Amino acid sequence: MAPTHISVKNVDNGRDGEVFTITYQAAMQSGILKDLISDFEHASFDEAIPLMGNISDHTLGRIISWLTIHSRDVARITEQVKEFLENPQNRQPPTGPGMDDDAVNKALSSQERTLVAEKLKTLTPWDVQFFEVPTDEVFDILLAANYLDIQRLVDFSSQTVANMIKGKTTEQIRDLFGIVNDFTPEEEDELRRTEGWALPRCDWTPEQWQ
Amino acid sequence: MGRFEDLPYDLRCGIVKKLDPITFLRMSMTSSKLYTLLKPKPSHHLEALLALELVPEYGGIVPRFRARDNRVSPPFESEEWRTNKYACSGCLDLLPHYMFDHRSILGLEYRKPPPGSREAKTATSWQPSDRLLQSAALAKREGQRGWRKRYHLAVTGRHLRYRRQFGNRLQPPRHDDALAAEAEKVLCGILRYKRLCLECKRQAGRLPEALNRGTPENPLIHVRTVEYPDSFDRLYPGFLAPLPLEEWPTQRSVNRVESGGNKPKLTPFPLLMAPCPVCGTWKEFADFRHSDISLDIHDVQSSWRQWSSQGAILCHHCLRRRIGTDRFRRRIVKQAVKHLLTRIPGVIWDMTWGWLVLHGWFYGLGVTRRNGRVEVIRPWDKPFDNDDVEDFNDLRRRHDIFKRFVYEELQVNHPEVFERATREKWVKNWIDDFGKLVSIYFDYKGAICEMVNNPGRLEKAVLDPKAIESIFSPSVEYAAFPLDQL
Repeated sequence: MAPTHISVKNVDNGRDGEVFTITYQAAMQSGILKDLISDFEHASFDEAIPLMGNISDHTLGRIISWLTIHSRDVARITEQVKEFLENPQNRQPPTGPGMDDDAVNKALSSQERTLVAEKLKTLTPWDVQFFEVPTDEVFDILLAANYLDIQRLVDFSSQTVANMIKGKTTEQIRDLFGIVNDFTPEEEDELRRTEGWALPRCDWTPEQWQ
Repeated sequence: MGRFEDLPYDLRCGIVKKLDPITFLRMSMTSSKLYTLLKPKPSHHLEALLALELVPEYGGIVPRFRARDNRVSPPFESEEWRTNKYACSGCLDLLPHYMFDHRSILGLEYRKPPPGSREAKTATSWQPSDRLLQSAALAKREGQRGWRKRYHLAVTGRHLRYRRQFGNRLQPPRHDDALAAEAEKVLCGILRYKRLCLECKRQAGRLPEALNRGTPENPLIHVRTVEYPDSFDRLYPGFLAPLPLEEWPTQRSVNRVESGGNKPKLTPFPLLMAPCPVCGTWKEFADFRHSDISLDIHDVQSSWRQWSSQGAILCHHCLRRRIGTDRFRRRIVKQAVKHLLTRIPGVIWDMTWGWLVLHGWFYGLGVTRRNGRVEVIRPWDKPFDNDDVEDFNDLRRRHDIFKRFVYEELQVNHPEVFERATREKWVKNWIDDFGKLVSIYFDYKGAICEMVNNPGRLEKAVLDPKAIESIFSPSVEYAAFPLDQL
């Protein structure tokens, strides 16, 4: 029988770290935790499962809180979408006259799946607040989520990084991520010749376009 | 500081796939490592350009087009269209809207997608490998086909469908703007990557024949129809402040005002673009005028073909280079003065027609005889000499008396007659703002002097490459001329 709660012990660089408790449902969102739970299936869950991902306690704590908050997302959103689709006006009109019931049901369930998938991909205000941290920390969360195999959190973190870059010039992006401009003058000349559009113009101001 | 380059490959790819096309391009230019990883292609450059045209600072507005009655919002004449730019997939540049034919910027799949639509939200199409998701592409096309049908029904009304189903029992059209807007969110802009400017189309031999008012060798493309006060302002855009049409009818509009009671309408003129055979630059027709020509499309067409056969098509810049500055100035001044002189009788008519109309009205109302103001009310019956200041003094004196009569006698003693007479806006304007008409007259006279004495200014206005843009905002107001200074 599956436990209601499990404990996870963080092992950071070989040292024992903090022990976190998480609900079973929340833990199942992580591929690694899911595998570990199935590996420990026959053992008692009294002892904490060791997690050796070189993740800091702080980052793991934040990820556990994210997992807890989002543990019931799929069920909740599916319910919302079903409710939304109960109103015939919200359904996409069938593609042709004379569709039988099977075809209509098929179209509806396809629309439901699309809507649920879309909603699951959307950052909620809570998520936006969750990622209001320094760039380093976002990268830590991204790496940890990748290790723990939490695809949604990886997507959200990637989206946050993409949003951080949005609207910035090449130079600002270099500053933000500490990227060193290692183009040699010859390479730049070559680029100017071959990629004539991009190099000079991607950073142009509206006035320069006049 | 984050360490983007230290992230595993798949995470870096995951982030890059979520970037918008502009940022993707900027990202790829940050370092040689990232350039090698991302390797942008010309299609990515085009994507960035298409994204840039949706940024207000770069591309200007996203106009709305209602297909069921061909209404563009905001209209072409508005200020917003001045800075409206579109991306050309041929020359990879953002160009002013008049460098594209109508369909290239307002066709359903070529126009700028409205905010919130799929196309407006598109991220870069970059993929770590060049795999072709054929099934996804097919499903997308299939979905678009369904939306296209719905859009067609929404903008044409459903009567055609009913007609097919129920024979000739024609149903009244039922337009569905909400459904059309939904379809636009899916379909708008999906073919923008194929949009070409006029020059790229010309080089590819794909200029739209139906819009060509010229010849195959010297095309003259009707790109848009804009509404404009009259031919002088159309041919010399920006040189004179346009007439304050909201308030004053021109001679041409008087009949409309009298019969319909509507405010005067602007006259639609074709916006015609042509490449100069010498310098190759695309310019508006106004930049090619060499003789006195009306802007009636048939006149334009026949003149252009005649010039073409004579090999006489030259833009102003090339003409000046060929004949020299002095001769060029003389020629344009001569033409401009000739154009303006044809306008002056219209202004004089505007100043004097009020008597003609009001005479009939007030006589009909039975007021004139009773009040003994026949001298004031009678129509202007002597020939008007443009240079005779006495005429103006007489005009002003009569207008002053007339105004006093209206406000001191008519309004006080016959309020119902006053109310009936001044119900029309132009009557009241004519009485209260006579100074504006006088102002227009003196402006024209002053402009002629200015052209003759300072031809350099006219030359500058004619050669200004941005002159065409003033077509899209004829909104300068006239201040009333102080009548007591006459």
